[in-house]
Amino acid sequence: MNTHIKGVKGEDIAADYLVKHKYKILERNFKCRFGEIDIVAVNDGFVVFVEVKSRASDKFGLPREAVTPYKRQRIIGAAKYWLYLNKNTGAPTRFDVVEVMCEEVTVLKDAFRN
Amino acid sequence: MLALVKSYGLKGLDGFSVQAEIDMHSGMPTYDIVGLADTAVKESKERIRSAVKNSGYSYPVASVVINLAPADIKKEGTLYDLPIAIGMLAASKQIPYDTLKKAVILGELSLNGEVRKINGLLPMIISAKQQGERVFVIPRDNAEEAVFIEGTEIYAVATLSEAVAFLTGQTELQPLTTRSWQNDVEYRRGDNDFKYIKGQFAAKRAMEIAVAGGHNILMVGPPGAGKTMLARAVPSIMPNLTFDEALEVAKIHSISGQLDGGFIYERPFRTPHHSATMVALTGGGNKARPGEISLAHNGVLFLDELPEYSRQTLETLRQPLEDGVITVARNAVSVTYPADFMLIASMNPCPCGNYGSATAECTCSASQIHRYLGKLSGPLLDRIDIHIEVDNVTYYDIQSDTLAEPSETIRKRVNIAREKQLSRLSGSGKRCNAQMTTVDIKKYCKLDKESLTLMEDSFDRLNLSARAYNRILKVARTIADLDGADNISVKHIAESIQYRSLDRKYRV
Repeated sequence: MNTHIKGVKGEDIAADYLVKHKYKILERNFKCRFGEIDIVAVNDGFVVFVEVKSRASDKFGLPREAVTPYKRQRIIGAAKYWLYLNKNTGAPTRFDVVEVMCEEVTVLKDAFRN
Repeated sequence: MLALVKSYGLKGLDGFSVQAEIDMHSGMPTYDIVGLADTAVKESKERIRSAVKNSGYSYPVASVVINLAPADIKKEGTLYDLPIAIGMLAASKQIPYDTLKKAVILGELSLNGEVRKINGLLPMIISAKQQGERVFVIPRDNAEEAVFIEGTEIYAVATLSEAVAFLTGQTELQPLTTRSWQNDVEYRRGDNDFKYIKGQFAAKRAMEIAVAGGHNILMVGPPGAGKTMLARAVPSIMPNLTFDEALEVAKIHSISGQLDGGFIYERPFRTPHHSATMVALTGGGNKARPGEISLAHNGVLFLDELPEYSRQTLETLRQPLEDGVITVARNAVSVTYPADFMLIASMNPCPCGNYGSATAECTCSASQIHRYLGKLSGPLLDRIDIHIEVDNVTYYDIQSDTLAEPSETIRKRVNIAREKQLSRLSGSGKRCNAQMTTVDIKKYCKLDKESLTLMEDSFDRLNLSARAYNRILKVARTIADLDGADNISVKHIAESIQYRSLDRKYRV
């Protein structure tokens, strides 16, 4: 479970970073049959669904390259379900990707819109 | 950052300027091409990625958007690999953009970073030059196509790194040295020479006349008489290609990717099989590619066993035979290709092949013969100036060891006759007697009194049509040119009239 621990650690670093940058965290590790969301937060008037990716080095590419189209679909599906559960279907939403690499954090805002 | 790189596209034979705009910003790595790019262009992603990586650069982890402007014209092919790769390196700041040399860049990339050959380079460079472009970067394998284009700086590169080094000014490249056109190539298809054809003097004479004047010719005769052999020997007596003609031919071959030798030095000789479809012959497909008749432009289209072709296919030849061009219209594009070819056709006179032969007996019924010949429409036959009968050779002819007149000698006569026609028709855009219009015929085919009497006599007796009348005059003009005569005399007319055998003998 070493990798899992590393992943959780990455998510903790990301969450701390987000809180410092005016994100109000609503929920962490939301799971449903449609997929998973690492962090759900509110920032700048948006409901933000955050995917956290951590890597020890860029030897195998940047963390952001690991967010494949399939994973993206899973996140979007889970987000729709989360909004439905929270009776919040009309809210402006956004998808961010947070990269954690060697303690260094990069936030890609609105990452799913090219 | 945004980078703009110039490239080119092709619509039929005409090129249009394409601007590849490559924009890059940080974010999720994506790659999108817009601007009506076809599958081959979209697939450039994978080639560029590997080529960039294997050339020692890094493929940017960024959101990449590529626009091929103008965005409302379809872009096809693989030639945008190189310009997009260059633009991508500039946009990701791996190479300086501001000092990048301005050039029209064309080329396909292989995964290891080599620049590959593309189709249609020649027509693109010609159009680009007309539109004021001067500097080009092209694949080295295409260099031979462009050696005759003067007034441009063309740089041929073999790899992506070489292109980058040149465009950034790190290394100097020598522009392609242009050559002036000199067509002194010896005829290479050595086996098909007129000297190896035994007997058949009348047919050879008719072939010489047909080639000299650019006339279409139809050979009728029993199987094994030598019709195909005669046709195959025709390129060996065709006049040399002029530069303008060669350029037209090369452009068409460039588009269809058939410019193997680098350029065209010989007149094309196309022999589509009789199973060829209409589209294969006229051109078409969803990209409106040139067909056999355009590939035969300025050369020979040989249709062996003419009645075996489908009726519909043959009828589509009527309009290009008259106009020398074919317009291929598809829902997305409509393209006009030149199709000015000399038609050589051969056929048997009946299903068994022996009708009218002096040596063998025909076993066909009258209705069979009628049906067989009926496959050829009158309008099509009308467009064929010369009809000849090729009968079996005699044993004596086959046995004789004497070689007949070599093609080289015939070709010299043909060249002289062609020059006469060129100078006579100069300024009208026509090149040979077969292209003369009614007005030209009136002007250049004046008959003396004796000839007029003969014409009048045969017109009534042979029941000739008005069109046949003009054909006879045109062919007579060519015969006179071969004879070195300025005016048509009665012997030229007399010979010309006998080349209408299908109008008389076989019209049942």
